[in-house]
Amino acid sequence: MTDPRYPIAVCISVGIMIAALVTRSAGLFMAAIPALAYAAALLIARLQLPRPELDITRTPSSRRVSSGDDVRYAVTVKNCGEPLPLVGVLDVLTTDEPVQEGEPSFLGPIGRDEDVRLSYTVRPSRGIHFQDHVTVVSWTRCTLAFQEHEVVCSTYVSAIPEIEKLPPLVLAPRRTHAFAGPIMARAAGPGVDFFGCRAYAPGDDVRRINWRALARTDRLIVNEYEQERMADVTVILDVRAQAHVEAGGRDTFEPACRAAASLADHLIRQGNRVGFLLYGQSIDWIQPAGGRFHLERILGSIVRAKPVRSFAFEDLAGIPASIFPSGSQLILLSSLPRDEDYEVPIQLAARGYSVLAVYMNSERLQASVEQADDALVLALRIRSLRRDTAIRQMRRAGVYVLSWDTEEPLSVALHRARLDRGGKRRRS
Amino acid sequence: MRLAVLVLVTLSAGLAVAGAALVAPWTFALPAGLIAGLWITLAAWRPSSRLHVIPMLLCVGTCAFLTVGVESRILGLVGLPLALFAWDASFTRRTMSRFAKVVQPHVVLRYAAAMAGICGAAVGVAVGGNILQLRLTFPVALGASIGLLGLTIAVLWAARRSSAVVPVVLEKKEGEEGKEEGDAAAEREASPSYQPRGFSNPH
Repeated sequence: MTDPRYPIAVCISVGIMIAALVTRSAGLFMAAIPALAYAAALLIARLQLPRPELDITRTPSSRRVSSGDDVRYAVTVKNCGEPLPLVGVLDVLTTDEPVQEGEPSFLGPIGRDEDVRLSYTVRPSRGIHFQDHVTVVSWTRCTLAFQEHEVVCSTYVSAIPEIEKLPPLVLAPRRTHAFAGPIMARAAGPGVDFFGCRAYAPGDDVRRINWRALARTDRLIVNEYEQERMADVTVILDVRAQAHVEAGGRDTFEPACRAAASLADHLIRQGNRVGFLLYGQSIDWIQPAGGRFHLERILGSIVRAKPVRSFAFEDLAGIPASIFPSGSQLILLSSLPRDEDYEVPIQLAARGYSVLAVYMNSERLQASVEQADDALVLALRIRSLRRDTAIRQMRRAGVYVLSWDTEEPLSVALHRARLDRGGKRRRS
Repeated sequence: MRLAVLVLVTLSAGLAVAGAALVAPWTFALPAGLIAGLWITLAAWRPSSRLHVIPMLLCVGTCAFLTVGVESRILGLVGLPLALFAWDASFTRRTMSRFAKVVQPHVVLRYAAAMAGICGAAVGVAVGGNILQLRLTFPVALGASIGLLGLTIAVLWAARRSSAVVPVVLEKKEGEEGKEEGDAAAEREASPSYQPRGFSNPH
């Protein structure tokens, strides 16, 4: 903040004095004296300004939080120099969220080797929140002049999206790994679910003999079970600006990030190898892997995500399908805003991938904000019909489409999808 | 401080209107009264507003004009520093309100005493000059011109010396360098421009 008082006072006094000299008016000349005295006092006070030597440390209670959690900051300001008669300290917040508790500022004197402790709590939204300086303003004893300083003090807090607990997902990739996992492999072997029966062969476990079939057919028949293996699953998050809607302070982007993080967390916890692609500004690709560290890497990518408009990635067809492991499961999170976008899941399925398209439906969000008139109702109706047609086409091409209303959690949509399918396929 | 701003604005605006009423009751006092009313309303509604500079300049101009006439000169000489004081109080309040909702009373008192001293001394000199019936003769005009030149030099010097915001980088203490380097990787990864890896084909 600049101090405009000195130049304004000087301009006033100079202006009045010039007017006095031009008009040869002694009264005007005397009127310039107060403004002149004021400017002189400000100048003298400015010369007496103390230069603060402050040692400032800021410590957040946690560097990584889930969005919606509170972060408590402790700021310690220690005066290592001359006593400061009046000093203002303001910790500059980078988040728009209001301070929940405490004060990020201080105004008062600080003596030599004294320290002041500030403590405040904020609830950061998803993203990385950098704080690189603390604003310090020091006044003279009579508070006539001040000077602002920025004391370097860098910290950051990373707020990952809130992760919700998801119900079992229906995944059926065409290719699985050799290791045991949660995905049904469509092959007989060690498992829990019944897969079929075959004739007994020497070496088969006697406990697997189907005794009822033996009684009926008088032949030895054994039961087979479906293998459960791990698979490569790639979550694709569409961050193109046109794929997201913002209305009335709510948007579809944050739910999409939350859903992507929840899916990655759920799949990695189940033992799958999960890849992640952020599609929109550039191709931010994380190769499939498993484990907690890998999940942190994916969450870091989601934390940095923001809706962007890029002419290079305007079309969903720019997804580089060759980078995905062949025959793997793809989960696409998008609202498929353009007509050409509906073709992309179909093409991916045609290339041998098993595709689950999570269609982000924002109709309820828009309808709740925009005033309903005949034109809007008609427009929504047309869009709904086109969407239904496209979804039907995708389903015919072998793409599993999950319509998800972004106003409700993803777990609700997954529960509903499971009920709709009547438990035809088993969980994974 | 809010009350102080309101009182000072009312006093300075009142003096300006009273002086204007002495000079020309309708043509001059009416607009002056209107502006004074607006300034008082602004002071009551938003005591820390940046807009205070506009009515302050109008009030200072009115007071300077009043000092030309003999009858209204005293009102102008007292009203002008009061207008400056009122504007300064609103500015100081705005600066301090960034750091604290309520300014401590001893800070307000110290500030008020300093400003009252400056204004009192300035008004005393001006009124003394008025009583002594100082005339703007050639030596006085020459002195004023030299003063103006000195003031201009002071302005240029002060403008060169002062800057709005001064970044302060503290010297690192011993043992902190290693810690900083250790944290660098984490900070780099957390930065918005960081790309975790390049485009690569897993096959």
